Amino acid sequence: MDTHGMDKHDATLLTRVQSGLPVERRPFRRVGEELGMPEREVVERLRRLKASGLIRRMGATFEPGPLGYVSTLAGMQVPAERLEALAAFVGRFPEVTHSYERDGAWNLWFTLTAASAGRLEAVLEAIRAEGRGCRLVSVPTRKRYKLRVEFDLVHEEPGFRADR
Amino acid sequence: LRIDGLDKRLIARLCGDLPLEERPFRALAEELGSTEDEVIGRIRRLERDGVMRRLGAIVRHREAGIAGNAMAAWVVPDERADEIGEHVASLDEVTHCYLREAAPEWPYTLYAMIHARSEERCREVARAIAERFGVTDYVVLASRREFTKRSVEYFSESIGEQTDDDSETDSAHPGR
Repeated sequence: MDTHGMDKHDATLLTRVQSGLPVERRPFRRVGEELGMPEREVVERLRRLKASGLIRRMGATFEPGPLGYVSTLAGMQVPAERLEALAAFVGRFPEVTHSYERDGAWNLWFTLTAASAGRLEAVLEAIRAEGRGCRLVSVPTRKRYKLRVEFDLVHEEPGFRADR
Repeated sequence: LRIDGLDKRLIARLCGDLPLEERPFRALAEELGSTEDEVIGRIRRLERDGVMRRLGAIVRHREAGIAGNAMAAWVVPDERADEIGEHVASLDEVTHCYLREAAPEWPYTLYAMIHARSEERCREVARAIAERFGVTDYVVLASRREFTKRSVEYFSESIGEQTDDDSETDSAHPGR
């Protein structure tokens, strides 16, 4: 694969650093040791991958529950001519983390994570009001079977693996 | 589980970008008025306690060649949710799998985010699940446009202004 100027070493490094950095004083030296790459090169490649946008963020993800946060998935039926304006409204809430136009009558889907149940409801209510009659469903999680967003960018065949 | 003020500021800071330099935790410690070893110890504890999921790179997967993405949802009886959910979770193409509440006008309960190199492949994965378990009432909602994608900013009030560019609303990549 050669995407955005990503070479074989970039793909290997990017695949490795998705699955967790060692939490120690020199994490990039450790990663470099694993991959046979000098620390300086690891850092420089990561800077370039970040600058090119292939790395959206090098940081941490957290579990909402233990931090007292609550989340849900919501779907709406929005007339096509109002979709962009409503999506822009939805996206202005920092609690909205993903928002997509999708196929079908239920054409706007977004996820929300808020610091309290009250705040989550308040955001949903504001969106419902802005929707002026658009149907809205909120389907909170009952159980999680998987959350692992990691992509194997090295192997072209058999495609990729999301769970390695 | 105790989360003190420094934990909150550390968590808020880790919702942004780790400095890409040889000693990133020393740089973080300087920003937070702490020490490198203290920061490392706290991050390890957050991970061990199941508060932090992972520290690493979050990739723009479309740009990296993973072009297909769809949300699929099946109507699944409660008593079969675990059996089916665990199978769905085992699939390489599935990044997220959740059991959710049904709504009166939306009966689907088992959800998966499917990522593959093509949308057609995503549909095949969803169809195979439906056939394998006989849960044929399902939808595949491919994404047409990404309006927003950002990370949650936990405890953002604890560090004042967030300036990392990760919190952007991104509508610059339509139509995929």
